[in-house]
Amino acid sequence: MKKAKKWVVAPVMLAAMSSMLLSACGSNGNDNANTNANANANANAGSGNADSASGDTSNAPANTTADLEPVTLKYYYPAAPQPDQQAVQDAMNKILKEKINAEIELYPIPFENYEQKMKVMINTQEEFDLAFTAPWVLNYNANATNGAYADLTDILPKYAPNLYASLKPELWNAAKVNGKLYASINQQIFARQFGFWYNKEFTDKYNVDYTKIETLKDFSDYLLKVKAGEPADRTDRMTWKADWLDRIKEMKGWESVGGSDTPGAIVSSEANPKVFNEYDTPEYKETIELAKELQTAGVIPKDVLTAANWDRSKMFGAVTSVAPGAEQAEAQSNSMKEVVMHGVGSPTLTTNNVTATMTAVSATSKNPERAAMFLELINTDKDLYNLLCHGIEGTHYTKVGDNKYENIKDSKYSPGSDWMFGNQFNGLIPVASPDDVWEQTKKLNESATASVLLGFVYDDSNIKTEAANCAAVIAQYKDVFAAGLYGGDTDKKYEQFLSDLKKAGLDKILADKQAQVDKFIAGKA
Amino acid sequence: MTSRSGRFKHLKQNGEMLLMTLPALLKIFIFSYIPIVGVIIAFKRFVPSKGIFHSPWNGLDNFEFFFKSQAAWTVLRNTIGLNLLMILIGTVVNVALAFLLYEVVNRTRLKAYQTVLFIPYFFSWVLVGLMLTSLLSPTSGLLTDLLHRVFGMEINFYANPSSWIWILTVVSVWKGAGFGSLIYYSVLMNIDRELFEAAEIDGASRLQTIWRVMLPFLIPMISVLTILALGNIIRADFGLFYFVPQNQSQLYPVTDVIDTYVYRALAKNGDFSMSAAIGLFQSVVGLVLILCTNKVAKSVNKDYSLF
Amino acid sequence: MPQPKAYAFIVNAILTVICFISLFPLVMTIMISITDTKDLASFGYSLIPRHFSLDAYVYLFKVPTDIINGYRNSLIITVVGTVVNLFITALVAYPLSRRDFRYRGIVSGFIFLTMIFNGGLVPLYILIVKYLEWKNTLTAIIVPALALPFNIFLLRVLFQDIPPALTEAAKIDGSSDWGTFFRIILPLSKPAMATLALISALGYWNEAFAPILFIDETKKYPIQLVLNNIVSAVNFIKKGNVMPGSVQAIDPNSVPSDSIMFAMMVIATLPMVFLFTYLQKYFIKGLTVGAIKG
Repeated sequence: MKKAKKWVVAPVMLAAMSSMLLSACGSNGNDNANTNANANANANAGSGNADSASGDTSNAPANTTADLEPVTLKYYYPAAPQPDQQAVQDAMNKILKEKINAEIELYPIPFENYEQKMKVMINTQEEFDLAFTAPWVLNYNANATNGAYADLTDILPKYAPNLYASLKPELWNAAKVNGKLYASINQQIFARQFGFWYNKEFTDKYNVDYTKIETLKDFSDYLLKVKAGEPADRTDRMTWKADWLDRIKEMKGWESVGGSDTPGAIVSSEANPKVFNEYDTPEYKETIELAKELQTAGVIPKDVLTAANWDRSKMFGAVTSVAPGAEQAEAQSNSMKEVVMHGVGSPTLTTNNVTATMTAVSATSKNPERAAMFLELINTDKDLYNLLCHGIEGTHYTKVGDNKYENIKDSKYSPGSDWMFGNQFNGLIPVASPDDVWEQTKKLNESATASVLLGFVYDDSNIKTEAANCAAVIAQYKDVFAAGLYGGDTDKKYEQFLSDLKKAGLDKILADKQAQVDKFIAGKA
Repeated sequence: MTSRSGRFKHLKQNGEMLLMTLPALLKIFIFSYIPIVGVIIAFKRFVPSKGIFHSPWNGLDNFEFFFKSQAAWTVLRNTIGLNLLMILIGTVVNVALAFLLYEVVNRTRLKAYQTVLFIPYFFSWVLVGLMLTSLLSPTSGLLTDLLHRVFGMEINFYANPSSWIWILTVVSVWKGAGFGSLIYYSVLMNIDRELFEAAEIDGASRLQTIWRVMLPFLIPMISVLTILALGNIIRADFGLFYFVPQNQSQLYPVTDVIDTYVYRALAKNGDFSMSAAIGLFQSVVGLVLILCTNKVAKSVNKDYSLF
Repeated sequence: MPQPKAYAFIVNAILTVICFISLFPLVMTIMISITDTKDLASFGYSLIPRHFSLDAYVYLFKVPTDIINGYRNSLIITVVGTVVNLFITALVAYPLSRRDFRYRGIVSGFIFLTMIFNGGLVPLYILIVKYLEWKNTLTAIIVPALALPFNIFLLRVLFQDIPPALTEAAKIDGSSDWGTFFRIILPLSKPAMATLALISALGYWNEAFAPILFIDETKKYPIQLVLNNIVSAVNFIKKGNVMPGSVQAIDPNSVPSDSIMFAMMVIATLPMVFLFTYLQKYFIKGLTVGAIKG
């Protein structure tokens, strides 16, 4: 039987093969046909929706859905799949079916696999509709440049008018690549300010005025003070290995051009910024030295880079990004009574911060317009958004007061990543957070200074070889420097690091970054 | 040249056997040969929306990044050196274990030995890495603790690259020993025991019997497995070199191999063309090595060769 | 077979030491998996748990349907894959082991080349997802791993050890090649087939990469992916969540994260250990045949 089946299958497979070889030529024709059909179908939808957008949303759906063909949208995002995923999806579809005659299929992919899986899907042109993207995951710039995402420049204002109106044009510009918009920005905290958090119990005990701590040096003095006073088995997990080499940049008001995996940074406030190698600076050298001292003093544990277990409740503080509500969140996740934070420098708006979490529509989507309509709803419809973020009321969480929620114990739906899905300001807030956390956040966003490079997107296609090799060099040294683990060899290794960077093509990268920055500045004027 | 009718005769004689090979060959054709067109992306700037065939050519640009990097030499040295060490020690250990097992007559004992030897083979590399950390962690590892207490030694294995030449080799041999020895053991199982006994009656000592009578039976298998391993000598087992040293950058002078370097360099931009280029380079070197060693093996004995 | 006592003693002694080295990590793994996480954090790893705790297993089995589903999917993949694989691999390996098979060189070369060259992920993925439409099917995991060149060559060498006289005798008796294969070769090579079954089953059971690519639907996850998923969730919880909007339903400090990793290893490995003990009787059978003869 088995063999007989094999024989039948074989010719079918061969036919499939030959069509694959041919398809490279044929696919263009097909795609056009599809787009045309969709354009027709959606022309109606668009006008219908425009009504609903301008008028009251609640009375429009009836005539909108009548004109829309039913479609299914596939939405991929990085998260651990939840046991009750299906129930939440069904509840969302009830709303979506009624409002835009669409159904969503949620595909949460475990964080560790997301990048790899999506890369393959994109590179093989597999059909899907929506995906989470950012500069730090699923490389937004590279994929937008490569044509992986649908051009939303016209679609978004038309099919998601309220979403589009909710952000200032300068913010949308931050997400533009070569003048075109390829993703929808999830509204949340855009202003980025770094600083330190402290377990308040110990700043009190050691009488440290944390509001006066402005540098890494001051912070390490605090840690040393605690180290001297506390018993040894209490101080084996004092602080993270810390990406403080990155954070030090932000505290100084610098910002990397492109990504932090290749060298090249500017001072965000300079009118005509000069690109420099942030690793070849006295500030960086100082940080390395400090890390070495902290390692010797036992403040940074020896196994910091390999420890599988890390008891957060034993920490005394760390580098962090400062935001309203973050103190409570940090305290909660560390099981601490009270956590306090103090920001260093001033809050800034940079391209990377504004675009830190976005949703793109795939270029392979058959229904980009409907996907945009979904984006409109997830960003404006509070019920829909809270379903995706926190699950079903009564089953997964209970509502406390007007705008707060509390998880039900052992809830089977708690992805814990509302920042990934849409306008965070529409979301319920945890019980412990201040009532006005969103108002505070909005205010902070307003008050932040825009970087001179807001809206600039770096294109690395000229320096791919150098970028790959520099990335490898940086990955080799950075963590060990941050952990201070080179000990007595630190100076020697630092020299070698700089010379390795140079050999890997540092100068070419800096020159290329400078040229693109100059061009951007010239274009702005 | 065979005549037309002669060729037909061969086909008829071998027809049944040819038929037997068909299901496997068909699977291999579909899943390995058809996708092989993909190697051309090594010479292209792959743009997904244009597909494999319509992406623009860019010559040897994709090969540049690896061969121009200053890590290339270290990485090649590590890959080849460690692989050779593992092949050599692995083969010796596996064959020796197979002989040892062959000598065990007590069935219960044999069962127990085999099972226990095999257990490490079931673990994934990620978990082997974790187990090793619980032994070698500088603060809480069982072994570091023991060394410290008994010998007063303070060793941070994760900051000491040269020790990893042996750690990696031992781990690799340890994990593969159950499987490797089982293969050689099943070869020994297939041999008629009377042969060995005849030798012993002739007055040969046990070791002489092993060396002169049993070992020759194992040589075809040793030879084939070694040829195959040599073909992969510049390809490294990613899991072993990435998860077991926990990707510790201080250990790169020893643990960094081609596959981990490429992974690290391309993690962010995820360029399929560049990784395809390295893959192609590894394949070509592998092919040359296999053809050479195969030829040598064949000249000794047809059964020693792969094809 | 006569065996000097001292000799047997040395053999057993060496093997016992080696086995101890092999077994030690497993014992350690099981011990860590039942150690209280708080102890791990404060006292480091130790062989004898100070406080015994099954928290890790309780956590992993909190949603038992997930793990049961995972086991079921893995079982289907492993059983179907191994059976089919044994059949077609043996079929192709047998002619290759025969010196009188005229196309031996060509066929070996054809198979061998694929060990060295491959077209990479992109075309294979397009083939499986676009043309065969196997996304979210277990077939996508089973079929590409059938008839792997390494397995074919391995089995070929094992078949070569069967005395050619046996096949020739069968041929003279008028047996067809198929008949010889089924009636003589297969029954004679149980140890070889058991070896292949083990490799094949283990390969399928531990396969974690293909499912990541081809399986989107949670209910079709094999066990490795289910476990990875749980670990991923634990890591996410443990990393802490300083974004002000969401809180996890689970208190990160209540999650026994270290012991979970080790408990996971136990859960994923045990079924294969059982399979091994089952298949082992075939390895031993080879031994008894020889022993009786002697």
